[in-house]
Amino acid sequence: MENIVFFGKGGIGKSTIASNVTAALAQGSARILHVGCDPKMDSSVSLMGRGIPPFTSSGLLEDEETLRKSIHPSPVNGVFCIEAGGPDPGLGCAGAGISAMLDTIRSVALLEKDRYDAVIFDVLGDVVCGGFAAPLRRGFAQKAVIVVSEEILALYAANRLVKMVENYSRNGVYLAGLAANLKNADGLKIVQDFARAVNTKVLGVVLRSAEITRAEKAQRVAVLHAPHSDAARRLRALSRAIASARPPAAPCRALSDPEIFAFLKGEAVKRRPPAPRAGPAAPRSGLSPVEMRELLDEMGFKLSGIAGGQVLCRLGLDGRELRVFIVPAGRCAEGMQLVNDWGICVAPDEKDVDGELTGKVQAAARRLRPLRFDDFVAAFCGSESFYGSVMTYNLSGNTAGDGPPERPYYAFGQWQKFLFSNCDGKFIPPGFPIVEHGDIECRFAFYNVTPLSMFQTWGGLAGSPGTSPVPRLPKQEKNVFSTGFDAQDAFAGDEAKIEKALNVAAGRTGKSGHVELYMCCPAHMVAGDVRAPVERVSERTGINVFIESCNSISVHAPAKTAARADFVEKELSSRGRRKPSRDVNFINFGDPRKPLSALLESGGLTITAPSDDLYADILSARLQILPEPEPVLVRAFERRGIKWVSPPAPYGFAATSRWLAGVYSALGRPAPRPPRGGAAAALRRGLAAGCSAFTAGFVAAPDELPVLLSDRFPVLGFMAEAGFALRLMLYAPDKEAEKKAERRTQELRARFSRARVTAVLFRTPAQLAAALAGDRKMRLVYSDIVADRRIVSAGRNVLSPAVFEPGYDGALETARRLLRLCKWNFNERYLR
Amino acid sequence: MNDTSADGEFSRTYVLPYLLGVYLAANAVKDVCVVVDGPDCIMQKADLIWGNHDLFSTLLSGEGRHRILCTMAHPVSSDRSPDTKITTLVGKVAASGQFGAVVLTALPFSRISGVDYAGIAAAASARTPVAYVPAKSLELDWLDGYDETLAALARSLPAPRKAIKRRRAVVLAGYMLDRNEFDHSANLAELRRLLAAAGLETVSVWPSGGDCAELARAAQAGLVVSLPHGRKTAKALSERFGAPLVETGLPLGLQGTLDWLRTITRAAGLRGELPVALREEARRTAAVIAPALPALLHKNILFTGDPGLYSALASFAEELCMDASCALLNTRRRPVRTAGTPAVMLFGPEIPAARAAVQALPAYQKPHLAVGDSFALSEGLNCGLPFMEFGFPSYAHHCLTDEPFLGFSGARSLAARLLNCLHSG
Repeated sequence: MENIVFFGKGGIGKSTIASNVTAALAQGSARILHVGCDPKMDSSVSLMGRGIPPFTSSGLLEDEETLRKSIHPSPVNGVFCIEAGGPDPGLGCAGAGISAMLDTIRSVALLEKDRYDAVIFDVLGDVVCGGFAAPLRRGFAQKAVIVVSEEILALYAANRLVKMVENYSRNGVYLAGLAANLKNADGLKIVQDFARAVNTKVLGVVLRSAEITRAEKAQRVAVLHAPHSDAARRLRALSRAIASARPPAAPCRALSDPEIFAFLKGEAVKRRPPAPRAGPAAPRSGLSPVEMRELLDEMGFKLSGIAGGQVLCRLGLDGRELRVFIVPAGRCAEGMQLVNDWGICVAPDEKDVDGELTGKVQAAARRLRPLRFDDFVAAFCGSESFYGSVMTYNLSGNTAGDGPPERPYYAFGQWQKFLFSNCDGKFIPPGFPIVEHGDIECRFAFYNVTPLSMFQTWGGLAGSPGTSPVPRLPKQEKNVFSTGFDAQDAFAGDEAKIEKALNVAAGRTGKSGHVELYMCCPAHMVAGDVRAPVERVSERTGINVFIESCNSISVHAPAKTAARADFVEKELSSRGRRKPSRDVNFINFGDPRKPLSALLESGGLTITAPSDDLYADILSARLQILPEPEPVLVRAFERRGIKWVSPPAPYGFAATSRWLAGVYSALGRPAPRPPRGGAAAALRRGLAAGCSAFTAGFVAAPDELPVLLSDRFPVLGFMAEAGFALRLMLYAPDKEAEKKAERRTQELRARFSRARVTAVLFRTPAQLAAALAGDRKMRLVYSDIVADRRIVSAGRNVLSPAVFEPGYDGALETARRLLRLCKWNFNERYLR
Repeated sequence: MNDTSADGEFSRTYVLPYLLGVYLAANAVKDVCVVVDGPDCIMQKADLIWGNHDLFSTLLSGEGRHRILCTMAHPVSSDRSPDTKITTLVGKVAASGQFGAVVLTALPFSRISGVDYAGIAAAASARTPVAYVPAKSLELDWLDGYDETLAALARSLPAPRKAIKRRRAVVLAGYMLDRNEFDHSANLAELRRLLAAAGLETVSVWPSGGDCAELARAAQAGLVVSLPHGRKTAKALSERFGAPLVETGLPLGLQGTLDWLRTITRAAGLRGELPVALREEARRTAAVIAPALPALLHKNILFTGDPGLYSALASFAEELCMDASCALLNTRRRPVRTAGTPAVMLFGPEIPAARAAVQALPAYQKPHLAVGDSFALSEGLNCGLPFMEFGFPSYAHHCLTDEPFLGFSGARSLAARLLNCLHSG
């Protein structure tokens, strides 16, 4: 089977030539599939005598039957046509339609099943994204033909297309040659010169002719409409040349930008030498990442970044600092010096780089010959683990020049955080309209990234056992919904869907209401005009739409906070003035609400029983208790004169006393005294004595420690009060981090003067493992990871938020649980 | 504020995403690494499996040695050549020597950009194969993702050099191993035992929780058994290794198991009836189940979850004189084989509509118990009925001991669970 793809600048006659080649090839009783990959859908008109409905209008894209319905037999014997189709001009993503059509053709094995002798792909003029290059993917075209004219812009575009064919050569694609579509024979020379320059040939020449124009007007192909014409003769010759083309001995090579400009100016093109070919690589150096970095420093190379799979360095030479690129051998370009399994070049935008300086760079590089490319990457990320290099590539992205990561082991596959501050979600006022414009994968994403994720909660005090999130179906309520971006939105544009969704949201929020519209990745990719539907709906309905990125759901931008607070106020107003009948209302406390309600009730306060209507609950009580000063609620409360309080969380005796004091003082009443004496006090003393025999460990980077001291969940405070010694295992990869760790430790010692606070610093995973296994009294180590195996396999027990209970009784129960955990040796006995 | 009623287009539907299926397949092959071209939001989806549904999952790790990696690609990226970056990353993973295979796929937006993933995968394949799984989240669902991933592996894994095909050897293709707990290991032991009793050797199960080397033993099979969750996989294996293919249902229930064994033995060229021992075992199993039947007879089941599992369970229900009268299925529309016609069968329904459909059933068709995944419970799709958690995901029912649900042993176990569930209500 011959698979041929035609490319060329728009308007150059590509479809004319492609359809004539299709017809000419079919004349030998061959079976040909003509595939139109141009959103104009006009590729097959002269073969069909009419337009045909395109594939992307068919709806079900995965379906073989639908695909077959899009394939139309042509009046030209042996020819079948299909058009990918595309959106209305300016909307959607036509490339996505082509990709989808070809994916379906491949997945149902259409080309193999239907035994075509040849498949002709006619792609639109300018290949603006990978979708239009889809015919060059594996299993499709082998031969590429570039249609070109004598015009400068056509040659410039052709050079870009040669580069594209080069890029796809890994799929077995080769450039069969150029099809010259010329005004007259005078233009042939420049096309021939261009062909020579890019190492290909001219397959045939077609001259503009009246026969071709007449055939097109009749919606026919010239080879059949005027078979004896000169044009038809030339087109048949071209078809034969394409059919007999074979892979060239040397592949095509596009001209660089300076070369093509020189060529188009008519100047002589001096081609750079070809890219060096990599020989066998030397063995790995055996140096550790630190030693490698020291060696590089010694040689004057300072690692500064990774971008596009290349290592970026600064090289000190002749009193100046040059930016140089270390490139894997397989991707070395022309003019680069190959050293080992890598090559080197000076950054193209460095000025005043002459041959002498280049020679010095190459000499410096040769001194690094023992290093392999992976050594550079390992030196950069501080780890020889492939995870390290993967993460380095990822995190560095294209932000070159930031220098090596500050925390080489952190999140580099060597160890990762023990503390996660993201176990709480964000508050969205009930009923507030939020539209997420994303696909189903976005819906099932992380709460911080998209508003409707399955983890979307705003839940209570972090430490309570019931708040650990279990994945659920993504949130979707009356006023919070996803548009469900789908394939048709990608192909045909998503404006209509956005408008419809906003209309629904507007209907729910009412005139002058606010709606937050979150744009997810596919919508960004299609890059539709989101402002147009927003303006239309806003004008018609009077709503105010915030256009947000999916990453900004948790960002409290002032305008957004104000809008949400407005909404809360309106909801409160709509319920009228009510005289509060209760003392206190808990907002979003999760499971701790029950014990805390009991605590307050025992002190004579009345508590609002939670209902489905948060706003009615708020109005029913004199005081609102929040787990943290949530900015939207705080703003709304203050504007409406609603009393609220958010004292530090009541974990431990002292914290519970402070919490109660905060609540009662806000109500203008004296707080009940904490229990003294009696059985509880004895129990407390006994527990404290027991706890003091043990140590609780905390692994963190120094900057993470405040998470354990927060008002919402003061773990360190509780542990210190319960009598535990505290052992900090702090990640300090360099001197500066060591100083910071020391500072933090001193702060903690000052804060918990009665507790024994010790610290050990570590730089490597091995040092951390030793620290975890070291102190035998350290029975508990804190982690937010469920059953953290790092702790379990060290024979320690995981100290997690699930253990902690609020209030006085909760403090006793928590201490009892902790003490029991300390004495529990299951992990030590069986799992170490 | 106007109360705009729920409009179908923008309401929550009960369908699980494609990428989740890809992760499930990777979870079931212990040395596969998935590279997803997209930002790190892809990682959190693994939490539906790791530590929640599957207590023994190794998809993620506390040390950060995850088996799911992302490229951090973003739609508004300045990458001049995303191909280069992906090729480098995938090449690194493949060359690490830590994996038997790498699976490359992408989020929908990356696919829209038209990256040549198949070409990249082929270019990066060396000693470790790189399988490209088409990024079809916009069109397909989790069951497709599962099958597409296994099929991609079937096309990519190197076959053992000296694989000698054995006539009596079979490969089970497309087993839904959604977790590495003891329900599935017990199922596989049961199926291997039954096939052995029927005179056949199971050389490989796709997937079994083992590694790629175990999958590659499929090359020795003389027959590919296509299970409902892996039709494409089975086809790919059959084409790859030139072994004939036989399509079966799930061996769930007594008759289901016997039919399954008969279909396979016939396709494998074994003549005559099944061995007496197997038929006797069916009778013995029936005798064990019999005392439970009075409590089960004429009870209606509301099923929520995967259509393949529903189809098999409905047949077993029929065998027990029960009715799986309602099916709320968490996929796009797809063919489902059932013995009878359920009163309600909804694909990817909206949650309120699904509840309403169940509540609107006539009195004698109303379900007595609900069988389904964790979402049935969290979304109230169980309609307050006694609930037996079954299928993916299952957050509240874990198997630390053998608890098969396939084959004869599975029939006993499942009948016991149904009975206990009814009694718990």
